[in-house]
Amino acid sequence: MTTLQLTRGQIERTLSQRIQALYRERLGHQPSKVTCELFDEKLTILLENSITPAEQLLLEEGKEESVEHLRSDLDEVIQPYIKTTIEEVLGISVLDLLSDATLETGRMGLIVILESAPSFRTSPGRNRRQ
Amino acid sequence: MNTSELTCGQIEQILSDRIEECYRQTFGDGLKSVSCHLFKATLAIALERSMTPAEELLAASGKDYSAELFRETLHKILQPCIQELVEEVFQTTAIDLLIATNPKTGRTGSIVILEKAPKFQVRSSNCMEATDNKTLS
Repeated sequence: MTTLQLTRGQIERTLSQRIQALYRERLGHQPSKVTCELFDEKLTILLENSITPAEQLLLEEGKEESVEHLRSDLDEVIQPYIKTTIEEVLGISVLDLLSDATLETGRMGLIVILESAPSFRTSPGRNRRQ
Repeated sequence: MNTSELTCGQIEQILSDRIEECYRQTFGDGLKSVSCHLFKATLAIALERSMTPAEELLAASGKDYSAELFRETLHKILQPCIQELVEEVFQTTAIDLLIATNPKTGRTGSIVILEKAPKFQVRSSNCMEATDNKTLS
């Protein structure tokens, strides 16, 4: 994808759509909201309601430790897919991907370190830092 | 702190400096840099070279599990420190704090969700605002 033809908002929206679709396809669970924010050579991804029904069931049964292990394994499995998705959309290598989730809130966050800052078309009338 | 008198960049710098100071006081020298970025009510923090010498020694000795447990403990120490600093600087409650470290690269990333978006002085280089076109729900 040539990100130069798109504004930052459009790139971020494409990333959000692709990541939401990835969760739906791979885990059979769609987070209620996915937000992507690019800044410099970093990308922040926030997923709301990221806990899968299976994890939710375990939590309701008080098996928090099992959920933590399951979550850790799921993260490990899904991370390469997220990495590939980001690299496809931005055309830039991912150097690092840091992720964590809070079971109580169902929120998951990722900070992605890119090899370089992506280029994008400047949106007129927007005063935003690149 | 009255953040409405400062620009977003100034607030981010103050917070980066405070987190760096807290990290050094708690875990010693070694941290390379801290950067903070605020988007509406979300704060992203990235720490470069955040591994302590003890963790590096454990990892280099092949004791990955021990290094992982050690890091979990460090996160438990670091989380309240970050939360306290963020709440003090922004004068708002941190409702969620996510933190992760990659032992292979030594990077730590944290995302803090604030109860409300802080107010700051708007100048030419202000903070990015979250807009609907990049949020998918």
